[in-house]
This record gives sequence, structure tokens and C-alpha cells, in this order.
Amino acid sequence: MDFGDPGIEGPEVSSIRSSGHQVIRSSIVTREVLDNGVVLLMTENRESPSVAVRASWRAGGAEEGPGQSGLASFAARMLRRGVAHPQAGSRSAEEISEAIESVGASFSIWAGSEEAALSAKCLGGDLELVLSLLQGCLEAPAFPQVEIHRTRGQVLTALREMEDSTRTKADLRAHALLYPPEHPYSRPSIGTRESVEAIDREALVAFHEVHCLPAGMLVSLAGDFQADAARRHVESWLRGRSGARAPEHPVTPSCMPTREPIPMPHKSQADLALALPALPRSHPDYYALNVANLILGSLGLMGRLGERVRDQQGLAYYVYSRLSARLWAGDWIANAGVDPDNIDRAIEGILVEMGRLREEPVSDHELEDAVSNLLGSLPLRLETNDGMAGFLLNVEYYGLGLDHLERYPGIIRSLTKEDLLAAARRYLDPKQAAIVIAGPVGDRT
Amino acid sequence: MVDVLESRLENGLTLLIQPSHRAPVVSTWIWYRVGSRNERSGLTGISHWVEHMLFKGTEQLAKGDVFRSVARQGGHNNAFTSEDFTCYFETLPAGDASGAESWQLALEIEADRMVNARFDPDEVKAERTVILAERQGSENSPSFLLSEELGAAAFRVHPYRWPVIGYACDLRSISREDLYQHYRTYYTPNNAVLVIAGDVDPEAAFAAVRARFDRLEPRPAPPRVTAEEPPQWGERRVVVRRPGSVPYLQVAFQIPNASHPDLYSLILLDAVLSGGKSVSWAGGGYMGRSARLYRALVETELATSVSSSVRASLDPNVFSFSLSLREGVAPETAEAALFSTLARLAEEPPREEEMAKALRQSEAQFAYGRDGVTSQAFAIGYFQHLGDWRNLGRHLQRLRAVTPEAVRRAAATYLTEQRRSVGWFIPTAADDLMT
Repeated sequence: MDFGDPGIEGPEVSSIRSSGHQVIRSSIVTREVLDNGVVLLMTENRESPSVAVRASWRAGGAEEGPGQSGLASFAARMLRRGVAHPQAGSRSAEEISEAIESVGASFSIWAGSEEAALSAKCLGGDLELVLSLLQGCLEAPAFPQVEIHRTRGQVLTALREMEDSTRTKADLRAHALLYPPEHPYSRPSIGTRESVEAIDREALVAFHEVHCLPAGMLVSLAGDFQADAARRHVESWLRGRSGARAPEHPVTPSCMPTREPIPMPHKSQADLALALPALPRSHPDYYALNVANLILGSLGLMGRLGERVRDQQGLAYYVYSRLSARLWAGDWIANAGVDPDNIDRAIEGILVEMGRLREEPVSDHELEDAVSNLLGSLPLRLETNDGMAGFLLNVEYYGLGLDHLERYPGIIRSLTKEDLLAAARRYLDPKQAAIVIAGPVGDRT
Repeated sequence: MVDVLESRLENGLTLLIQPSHRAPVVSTWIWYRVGSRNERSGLTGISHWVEHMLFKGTEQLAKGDVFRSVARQGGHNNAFTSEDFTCYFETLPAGDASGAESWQLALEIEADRMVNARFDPDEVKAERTVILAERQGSENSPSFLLSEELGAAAFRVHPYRWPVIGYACDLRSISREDLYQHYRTYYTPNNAVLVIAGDVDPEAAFAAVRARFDRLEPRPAPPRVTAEEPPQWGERRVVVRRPGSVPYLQVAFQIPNASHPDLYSLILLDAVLSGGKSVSWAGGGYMGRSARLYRALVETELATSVSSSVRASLDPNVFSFSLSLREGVAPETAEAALFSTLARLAEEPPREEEMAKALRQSEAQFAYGRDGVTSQAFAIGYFQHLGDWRNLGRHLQRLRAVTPEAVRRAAATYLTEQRRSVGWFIPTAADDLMT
């Protein structure tokens, strides 16, 4: 998918509405490609005293070199741990936290497989302060050795906690089975113990310099603020930094049918992950598969899976499925937490429901429910500043266009039972699923 | 700032309506005054189980209908059981394209299941394994195991000593009759508060509530909770040794209940120690990196995370601390650093700028908590449950009145050795298992 500037000059303005439904009250969204290359999306809302800020840039795990697993995530964590700015001056990690927290604002910066991202919240009057601090963090992180040491300790502890979590281990193994080892989707963005121990200051500085660029950076703002001042600010971010846009990393996931136990005998409960390759967000089958998955393992109390495995069989507290349709590829995973004695029955229940979705069309009322859920939930998703800022960023990230909300109801309403059946047949073959079971199980289950 | 219309139906149901027309969305919550606080030994976890059963069918709604009908409208819903209360909510679009009042579905659901839940024996049986699975899932987490032990140490007499999920032996033995009895005792209009926040006309909303709830009969007031935790005469300690990967430290200090005047000093003390918190559903995230505990424990590389919280509740509860320790750090070392940080606040009041920051953070969190009707409705219900929704409007003013000396006094009074219970989770290697 291309994230390039679609060639629009000056702000593109859209009012948010969705055919037939009033989704939110009188909101205008502007989208601009700023001089520095940043794509800025803004919507003002004077009824709320706060502002939500979201941003993303292409400095994710995909840009790490061999053996550098976890570098992108480590670098992102370091951005708030001290800056040395030629104009704005230097601030220690403590001073940055003090400055942001003194006004009751908060922000966090992290990196995933595809991108680095930030999320901030503040009262309207403090936005300029927050944007200045963020600018310092993005433009001139100092990467002090003492902070690298602290951060490494935190990351290693987080890794040890993940090692002890049945749910995390099942999911990580499922991803490792779906994607080739060289692709970032195959591994956790946090890295491994060995790779994190090997990360040094030089690698962090180099990674940041090469990958933190305004070209390809997306910023969204929602809430009570002055658009002109915010625009001027963001337009000055990372000025003069140039570099090639990050490459795309398309990949085709695949898996062999398997059933793999991860014995963790000291745990009370087993976590299951049943995984299959799916599709990227841009794929034409996305909407049909998404609705099929909604019916299978999400709608209401975890869809058909919840109805069978939890409600009828009483086998699990949670059982659901999710479609992760990402930038370069996607996967489908069903998860459940079950008593070790019930593993086989729970897996069987999930497989039966997958099969049923492929054998017969969903009922009329299931399709109607799913469609009205997707359309009816829009006002709820867009009600808060956070929800709105996140939505705008997402629309831009996946290149959906500012008119997405107007087109969306048409797309969803045009789906037929046959479309869902075809998507389930194409993607949800129970015979192909890779099954991972982490918990109090033996080597053979 | 908080503009609520209060009324009470003849059957005793308290109704709080807050119109907010920013978005075409309405959040409806019903709060029952029942939680693990109202349980007794042998029936632990029964309040939470009853909550589950309210999704399993009534005379009008089949099992699964609550989630299904709310999802169909594009809404979301859930329910929670705490030590003091059980609450249910539905956040829905105000209306749909045809002009129907979609949000009133919430009233249909709640009026029905307040009295008509079926507690079908087969459903009770199926739900028993679901709840046991929920408990097992918690047991997979070392911090749950530690908090369960610590709760049992910090409280000897009061039901706050057991976790809301309940003990496994009770979850295996509680009967359908036990559950139904609990439901009939506590699910009454006179033991409930209904909160509606969002895009409604208050008069019309009131009429819609009356049309569904007026017919419900009041029932005898539920029994009072008589348990009182006796004073603690010295430090209590527990150690959990289990296979795991990271050592954890949790500490709980006995504090008074939420109606005590020291509550506001304790809230600011907590903010000075680990940042201001939201009193609502939504909030502004973690603001503790510049606060005392982070500096004393994380910056010094003893812990990788530290948090604190004041548990404001109907009966005296605890001020609790939770730390994940860095590899190689002995729990006694981290514990000593924690206690010396607390002791310093007991000796010397926080600086003016620390007080200003704690207050500013609390104000900002309060504002973030007003973003969205779900969060607004939660806050109104929560404050009402603790005594009076009007205290939400007075919350910031009361925090502003706290002096640095009052914060010091709160630390000196409550964060003492005599009032504390200390818990260590010591990870053992996975292969020295376990019985």
C-alpha cells in the first residue's frame, strides 16, 4: 500500500458524516501535507477541555537489521529519556517527565513491527508545551548511557514476565509458525534477551537518525486547541531531515497444520491459540472476512465461539477470534483459556464452528446483526478525543481516504452471505490451523 | 460542572440523569449495592457469579440476548463486580436512522433482569466451570496469587480478605438456591441506582424509566454488613514461593473508609507518591514518572515498575503498593527503599511544587474523565455509591483544600509499620515444582 502524498495541496476538508446516520455532531476534519512532509489531520472540538494527539512514523521492527531484534522498540522507549537540543536546550529524562506531568499531561512512545508511534493527552491550553517537548524527543534524543542501562533492565524484566505468561507464549509461538523468521511479524517487537543485551548506544543513535523522518510521519489531533498554532508547531518538526521512505515488507504467511504444546506445569490454566494465515488490510476480501470473523468469534459475547464454548459447553472464561489485517499481511487467531482437562473439547468446539462457517451461509439475522453493529458503533468509536484521533490516524495509515466514513456503510451493506461464505472457505480452514497450547500440559497433548 | 437531575421512584430506585449532547450516544448504568463485602465464608465469589447469571436468560430475554441485542444496535455493554458493588452498563447510540430511541434498550434489559433472571439449573452448572476457568486464569498470574495472600493477611475479619472471584472450593459448592437467594436479597429497586448520561431529554428519559421500573416492587432492605476489621497491632508478612520469573513486592496499609475526612489527604498523598489518578472510567494515563516512588525505586534501578492506590470503599480498606523488582534485587532492599520514601513523607510535608503538581494532575485526570458518556456515567454512579454523587462536583475543591501538612499527617498516621502487611513473591525455578 502506498502512503504517499496523494498530490493534494493545501488542506483537504471533510465533514464527518455517514450516510443515513448522524455519527457525530458538526465535526470538520482537515488533512494537510505540511512543508516538512508530515501528514497532519485535525478536528477541533470545543466541548471537551482536552486534546488527544497521535502520531506514527516508519521506525518499526521491520527496519531492524539482522540480530537487532528489539532495537526499534528500545529506541522508541529512549526518546523521552533525555534530549540535547541545539536550540531548545537539554533536558534529562527526569526533567522531561517533570515538565509533562507538572501540567497533568501524559505521553507514551513505543514501536511495533511496522511503525513507531506516540500517544499524548493534555488540557487544551498545554498543547504547545506538549508539542515542544515531543519535538525535542523526536529531534534530539540524547540516549544517555545511564538511561540505556535503566531501560535495558526494564525491557529484560518485561521479557521475563512474558516468558512466564501462558497467553503471551501461545500467541508468540503462533506468529513464529505463521511468518518466516526474517519477517518482523514473526517476532515480538520487544526483542529477545540476547538481542536486547547486545543493543548499544551507537546502534540506537544510528537507528533513530536513519528512521525518524518527517516523510511518512502521520500526526492527528482531536479536541480543544487552536489549529493554526498546532500546524505551525508540527510543521517545524524534524525540518530538513530527509531520507528515503522506508521500504515495504510484504510477506505471505503460511502454516502447516500442527498441534504444539508448550509445557508450563506450574500454571493452573492452559491458553490456546489456533492460527491461520489471512490477508492484509488492503485486500479486497478484507471486509467480507472481517464480518465473517465478527460472527464467528467476536460479536456480542465472543460470537459463535463464545456461544458454543463458553455459554453452552462452559469450557472457558474467554474464547474469541480476531482478524489482524495489517499493512503487509494478516493472520487470524482464535484464543481460549481453558482447564487442562478441557483442552481437547475446547479445540474441537472451535474447529467445529470454523467448519460450520464454511459449510453453510450465516443466517439472515446474523448478517443483519453484524452489519448494524458495525454501522451503529461508529458514533461510539468517535465520541471521545482519543477515539477520534486514533480513527483519523488509522484512516490515513491504511490510505482509506477522508471520505471513508461516507463510503463505509455502502461497503458493509453490500456484503452478502455468499461473500462471507466464500471468505470463510478461502481463509478459515480448520484442517490447516496451527494449534499452540501453553500451560500445564505434557510434551504431548 | 456536574449537572445531574436526581429523582427517586416510589419503589426506592434512585435515578440520576446527566444530559450531554456532544455526541448522539447514551450510557446507562445500574449499580447494586452488593459485592464481596456482602458475602460470608463458604459463599465467597457468589456476588460475581450472580452477575454472570444475569446474562443467562430471563422471562423475556434468552441467554445471550443481552450481548446480542446491544451489539445489534452498535452498542457495547458489560458488567463488573467489586468489593462493594455490582454494576451493569450499556452504551448505545441515542437513536437510529428510523428515529427509534435505541438507547432505551438498556432500560428494557435492566428492568427485566432486576427481577426476572431465571437461574436455570443447567446454566448454573455450565457457568460454574466458566467461573472456575476465570479463577484459574487469574491463578496463572503471580501477582494475583500474591494479592490473594496479602488480602488474607491485611484483613482477618472483614470480607475484603477474599478476592471478588471467590475461593475455588466455594465456587465448586455454591448451589443454584444460594445464588438465587443472593439475587433476590440484593437485586431490588430500593438497593439500586440507575444512571443515564448522554444525548437525552431528561423529562423524556425520566418518563421512559418510569414506564419500565415503576411496576417493580420494593423488597425488604438487605441485611447490613456487620463485620468490622479490628485494629492491627503489628506488621504482618506473607511469602509466596512459586515457579515464576520476576519477584514482586506488595504492601498494604490499613486506612479508613471513603467517608472519612482524611480521604482527600490520602488521595493527594497517593498522587505525590505515584502521580494523579482518574476517578472515572477514562483517564489520562500514567503520570508517575516524576513522582517520588518512581524516583526512589525505578530511577535507582531497584524496581522496573511501582504503583500505589488508595482503595476508597464503604468499609475501611487499604492503601496499597505494588512493585516488580529488577533481576538480582533482593526484596528486602526494595522494601527498605520503599519504606524510607514513605517515612520521609511522614516527617516532612511535600514541597509546594509537588503539591501543585499533584493537584494539577488530579484536575487534568478529572477533565479527561469527562470525555465520553460512559466515563461520565461511571463517575456519577461511583460517587453515588460511595455516598453522594454531589461529591463528584466537590471533588477538586476538596483536594484543593488539602495542605502539605495534612498530607504529611496522613503519611504519619496511616503508612506505619503497625498498619502494614507485606507480601513477597519469590520465584522458584519451574522445575522445583510444586505440589
